[in-house]
Amino acid sequence: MKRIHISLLLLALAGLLVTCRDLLDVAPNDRIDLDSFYTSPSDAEAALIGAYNYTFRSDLLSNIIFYSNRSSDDLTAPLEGRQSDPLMFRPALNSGSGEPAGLWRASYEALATINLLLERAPAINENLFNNANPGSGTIQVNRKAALLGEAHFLRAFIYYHLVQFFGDVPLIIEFPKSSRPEDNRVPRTPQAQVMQQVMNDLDFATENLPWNHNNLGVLDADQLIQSKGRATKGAALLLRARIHQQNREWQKAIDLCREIMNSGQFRLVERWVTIFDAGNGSQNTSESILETQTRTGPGEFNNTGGYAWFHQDGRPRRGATLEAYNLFEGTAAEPRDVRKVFSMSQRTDNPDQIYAVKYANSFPWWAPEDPFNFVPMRLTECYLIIAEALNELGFPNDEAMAYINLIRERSKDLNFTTGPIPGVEPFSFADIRSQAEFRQKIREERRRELMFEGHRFFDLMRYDAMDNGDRTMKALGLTSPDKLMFPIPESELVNNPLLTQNPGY
Amino acid sequence: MRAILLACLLLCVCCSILSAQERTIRGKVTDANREALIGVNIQVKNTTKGTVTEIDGSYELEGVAPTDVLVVTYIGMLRQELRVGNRSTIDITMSEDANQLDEVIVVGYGTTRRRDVMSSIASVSAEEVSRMPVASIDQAIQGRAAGVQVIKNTGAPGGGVSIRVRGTGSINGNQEPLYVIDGVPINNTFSGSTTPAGANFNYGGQAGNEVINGLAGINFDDIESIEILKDAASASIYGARAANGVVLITTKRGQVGRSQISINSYFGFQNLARRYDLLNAQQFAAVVNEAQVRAGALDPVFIRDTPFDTDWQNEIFRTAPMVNTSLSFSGGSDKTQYLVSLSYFNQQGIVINSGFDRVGFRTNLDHKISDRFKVGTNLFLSYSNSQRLRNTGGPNVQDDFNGNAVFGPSVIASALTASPLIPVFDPNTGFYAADTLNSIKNPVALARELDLNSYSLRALGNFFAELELIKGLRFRTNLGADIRDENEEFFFGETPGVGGSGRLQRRSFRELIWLSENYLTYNTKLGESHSIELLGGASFQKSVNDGYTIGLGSIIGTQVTNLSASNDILAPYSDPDNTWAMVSYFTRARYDFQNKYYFSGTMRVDGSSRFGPNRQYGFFPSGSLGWRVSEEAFFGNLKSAINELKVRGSYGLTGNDQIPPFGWRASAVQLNTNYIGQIGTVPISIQNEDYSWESTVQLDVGVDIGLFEDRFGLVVDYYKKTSRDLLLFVPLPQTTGFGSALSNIGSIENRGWEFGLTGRLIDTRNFSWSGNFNITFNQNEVLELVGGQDVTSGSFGYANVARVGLPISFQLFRLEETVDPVTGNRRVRDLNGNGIRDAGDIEIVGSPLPKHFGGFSNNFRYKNFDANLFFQWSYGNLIINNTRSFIQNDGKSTINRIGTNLSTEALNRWQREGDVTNFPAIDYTNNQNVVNGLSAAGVPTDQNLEDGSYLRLKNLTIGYTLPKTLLTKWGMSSARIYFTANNLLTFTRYSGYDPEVNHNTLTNLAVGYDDGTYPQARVFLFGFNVNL
Repeated sequence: MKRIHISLLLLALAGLLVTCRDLLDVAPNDRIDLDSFYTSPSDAEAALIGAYNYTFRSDLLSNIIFYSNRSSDDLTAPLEGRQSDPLMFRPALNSGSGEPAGLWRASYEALATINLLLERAPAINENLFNNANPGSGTIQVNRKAALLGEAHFLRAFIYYHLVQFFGDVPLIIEFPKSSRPEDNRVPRTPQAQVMQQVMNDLDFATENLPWNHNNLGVLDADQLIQSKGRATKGAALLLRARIHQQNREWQKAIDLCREIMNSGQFRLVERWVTIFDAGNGSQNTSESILETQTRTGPGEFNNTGGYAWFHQDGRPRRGATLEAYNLFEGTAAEPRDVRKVFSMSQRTDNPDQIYAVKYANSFPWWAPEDPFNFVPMRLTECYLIIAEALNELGFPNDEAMAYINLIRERSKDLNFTTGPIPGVEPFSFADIRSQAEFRQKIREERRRELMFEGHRFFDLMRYDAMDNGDRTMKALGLTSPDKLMFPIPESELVNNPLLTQNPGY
Repeated sequence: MRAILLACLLLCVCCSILSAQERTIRGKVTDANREALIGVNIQVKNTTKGTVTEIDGSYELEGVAPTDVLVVTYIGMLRQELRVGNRSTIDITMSEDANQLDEVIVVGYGTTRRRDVMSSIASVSAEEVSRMPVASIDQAIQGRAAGVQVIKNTGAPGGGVSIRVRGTGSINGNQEPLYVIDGVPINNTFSGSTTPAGANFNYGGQAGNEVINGLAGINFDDIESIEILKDAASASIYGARAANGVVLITTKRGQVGRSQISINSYFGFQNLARRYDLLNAQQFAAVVNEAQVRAGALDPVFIRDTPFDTDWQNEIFRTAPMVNTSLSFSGGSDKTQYLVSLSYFNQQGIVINSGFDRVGFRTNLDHKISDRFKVGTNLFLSYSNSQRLRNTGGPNVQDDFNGNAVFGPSVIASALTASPLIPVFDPNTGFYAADTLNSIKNPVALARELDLNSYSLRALGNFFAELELIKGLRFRTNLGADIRDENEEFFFGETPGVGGSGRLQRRSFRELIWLSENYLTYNTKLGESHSIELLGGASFQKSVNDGYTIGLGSIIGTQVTNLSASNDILAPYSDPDNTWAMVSYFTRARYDFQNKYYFSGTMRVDGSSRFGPNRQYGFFPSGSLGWRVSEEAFFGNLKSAINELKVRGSYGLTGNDQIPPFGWRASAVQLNTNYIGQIGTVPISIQNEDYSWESTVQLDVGVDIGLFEDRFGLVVDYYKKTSRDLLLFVPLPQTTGFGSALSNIGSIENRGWEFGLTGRLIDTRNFSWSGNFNITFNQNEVLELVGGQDVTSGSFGYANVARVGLPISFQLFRLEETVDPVTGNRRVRDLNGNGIRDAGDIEIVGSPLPKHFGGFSNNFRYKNFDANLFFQWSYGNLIINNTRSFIQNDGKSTINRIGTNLSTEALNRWQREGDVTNFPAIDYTNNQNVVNGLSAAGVPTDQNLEDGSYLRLKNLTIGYTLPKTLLTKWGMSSARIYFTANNLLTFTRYSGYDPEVNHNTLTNLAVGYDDGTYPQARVFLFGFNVNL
């Protein structure tokens, strides 16, 4: 009995002394613990998909496209809109306005996702990537490099647009390490420095991205949407070309655009409307360089809200300016330019009111899934950039003229739904006598061609910088250059005292 | 010389043994009233020889020597030791163990005597409540323990309850106390209510915010005592889980002695105490016609005939039966004691198609392997089914297609607003009649055709072993488990008159909480004066759980009601993880000098998987001091009047670990973030290494007084409880990619006074009157919030606010006394005088927390009759009666407002310009949601802010104990029959069904709402307790 007691006592003491340290290491099974994530290629691929979703969702990409148009001379107030639209009164825009704050928030949310991926993914063994699809019959070459390239492109894409709207912005390239507000206060980084980061990211992307994603090991039918829906070398080159164009580094812009045009990956479509005519099943055309891939289904990426800027209750809700309408040749009765007819419609009862209908679709705006792609980058822009750059480098330039006429040629559409449209006449140096005049023609053509596609505000700002002009100011109803940039959101100034406000707010 | 003497002595003893005949002794055991006592245990000391008394109190014991000592024990009586001597007949009179001070009470990891308690512990003994039936533990506590506020959230059978020990001390954490049953800390919450704050998943059940009571599965008749540890000194032995108080529940055990069989049974019925007065068919038709004219109808008499006049309240409410039976067998030998019980409880709800039933089995065993080693087990198994109603707010809540849960319209709110012109069944079709005028669903169809059943299987038990290593040093091991398997089935098929395609939802929740505890206790006395108790041990506990919710849509017909019903899976479905684990070490030291001066100190270290790595282990110390002044010599003669005067104080730290389980981790989810048909993940949180428990520092000072041999008792406590490090959302710079992070930053204080009075006013043989009274004054104050910014509850229309310097409050717009005499619209008071309704017109209007609450009980006994009157109250709390707003034309849901029934207050409505009244025009055209000047539509106003004070006759019981003479004849040891009424009388100015209401239990801040809530019933029961 005594022996039993002693052994029980020992057992008891052992029970007391057992430390169950491991007991506390409880990992959740309803979410991914970031500490143990990014260890496999599939983790990194999923994170990249999340980054695409965040970058292309309506809060970010659609807003970039819409705000750029709305901050210009192309769009007016909602014609029959029920939603208030403070942006239309740029003078009334203030630091409490929701739109800039929303764009700011969505941008940095996406950046956190991308930064995390770029921090963690490099540590994954690259050989794992290339065997990621065993049995698929495809050997993926440098998938890891391509994946990182895609992420670098997305970061560059977001920072590029942040700078366009806000000027100097905090440059953050790391996922936050601390959840304390005081550890996360950062000042605004001079935009030159941000743009340098953008260029670095794009350099990496250009070097590492393939021209297409046909080797991802997916079905042939999916290769197209992979190649159009993901960043490619073409997209990286075009974004770089845009920046060089903005910096008036004409030759560089030309070289990059030529690289895209000569790659054999893209070509202009014959019928211009097919680029946007998703309602008729046309998407991912040969002209598209980057196109958001919407699809229906639970959890899938859709463009809800994106088109809502243009449509409400199944009706167009945006008004185009008369100036924009009159920029095109032809009238409603005698159409000349398919781009006019497809992009805008004049109210019959009130000819001064023009609807912007470029993104008209047959689906109501509140439909839970909106299977319409946006095309933020397409080949035509390369032609326009080269034409503009060549003209800046010397006048007259026949190649520039040829490109512009190539674009004008597509104003013709003999199979348009409402009847044949004859198209506009080509330009010729017989009529255009000076470099300045041609510059003006190129700019007008660019405006017509890319109308409502999110370029106009950036173009106006660029032209003002070139010409020392004030067209943006006037277009926005401002009397001084104050408020050309968006305000830094009020809540950000409160939570981060290191930030300074843009002038005018 | 001495040796010789000793030898002689021994010889004498031996001789006497030899000479003394071992003989049989007989006798009778009675109580002070000379009533025979059955089942009294009589044991020969230091032997296994013993017996128990028969039904007439007689006993017979063979082979007893004169030197033997008899040990006589009986529950509730003082233990006696008698030397046998030469007697052969020994009659024994036992006296009641009336001394409260020697009463043993349960504390964390041990027991103590009442007089040695130097902290604030409220006890509710089974005896106190055994004479009045209650369905659940919380009802036994309500009104009986000072400082403990029990709010029945809903009257639904098996419905949830909120218990606040000394006030509200958290905003985003859980506020319910820790429940420990026979040493096993359990999960007292229904799984549906464990939605972690800030989680991405809505884990609410189908019945919306009316969650089920996690304690409802436990059979009340099994309970021996309930102790509520209120102050830091008593509670901090449970460390990080003790900030909301600790409720210790001890179940009954078998006693040495004759086998006992007891049967407790009651049955009766319940009904609704109050109703809303609604318009009848004619009045309603007049209102609709008037509104149609206003809306421009061509025919001024829109409704001519009123062939039906349906009183929907009559149709959905009913008088419902309720039955409870429990049967227990207990007893045992000196070595082994047992208690087994079986219980069945069935309560039909007062709303049709609702109810709760439970069957429970218990086995409690104790066995002594040797004098120093004992083992035992407690095991409780129960199966319960809650037949619930979808009851979440308004009558027009539509199915939420994108949400995780498919909520539906509230049955009660629908019954209040449904048109009286519509019959229950359409006489032409025989199907449920549907209204064409409005979108209110047929309330009877809602109740009958939407099935929502929650099944719960629960096993709760532990194994323990205790070994006395050396005298006074005991080692105890306790291995326990709380196992639950819950399934919720929701189904509604296509029902004519109800509409909508069929829908189904399944929620499943499984949990195993295991516990492994080992501790050493050492009790000793150094000399006569120094008593020492030392305790030290370790505890490991882990909850492994899993739950999911999945829904199906597009169900055809009503035949297939399980997951085979369709392949239209409603997304998103959720499967949240609430796993947690704890590693704890605890120690306690108690010392007293001559039962006069008491010192104790407690420390617990709690490590939890919920806490961030920088603060994974929390340290929770406390200490108490006590002085029994009445034991001092100088107290002298005073002692004859004041037999007990105790002054005590305690101070310490406790924690609240009921915070979202993985809140510190940086994590990512798949948050509808797919692209190109591939799954995408995004980060949702940043690592917060400092994420930790909410801590509460509590000071308690108290006095215990006993007068005239404890005939009267008074307990007074002052406490100050400061809860700090409250988890709040701190805004982050958006440049992090995140809007906010949960941080331990806020602070709330509760301070107050508790008074408890007990008295045996009259105590004679034939008549006695005893009573007790308790009252608590609690003052709640928010001390610190993030940047001093108000925290408001997010739910729509709800207006709770936490503001620094104030208690948790309501903030609302104020209504003008009368409607606009020109338009007939309600207007808000323009507090800032700027002519429009804006934030400047919102003001703090008061608090949903009571100024004081308590209860008082009177027990009478006349001969064999007994009576109990138990009142309970709450004073000074406000309620937002949203239920009433549905029938007040409140304009909150304009589209669906047309043709809904109204309160009879509408008879006094605004009809034409110039009418001065407080009831607005019935206007089906006016879109009141449009903010128009001072229009009161669509914003929370004080329109239905009401005083929620009440005084309630919670219990009235009249019982009769059958006389012994009769019982003996029938072979019973005791029997009592009784009649009970619960909630018989309620004195209140509250206009709703029931002032005891707290609808929104999922959000801590949102208290004080009546939102179509299931009312409590009036209950009438007949019952009996029989012991064989």
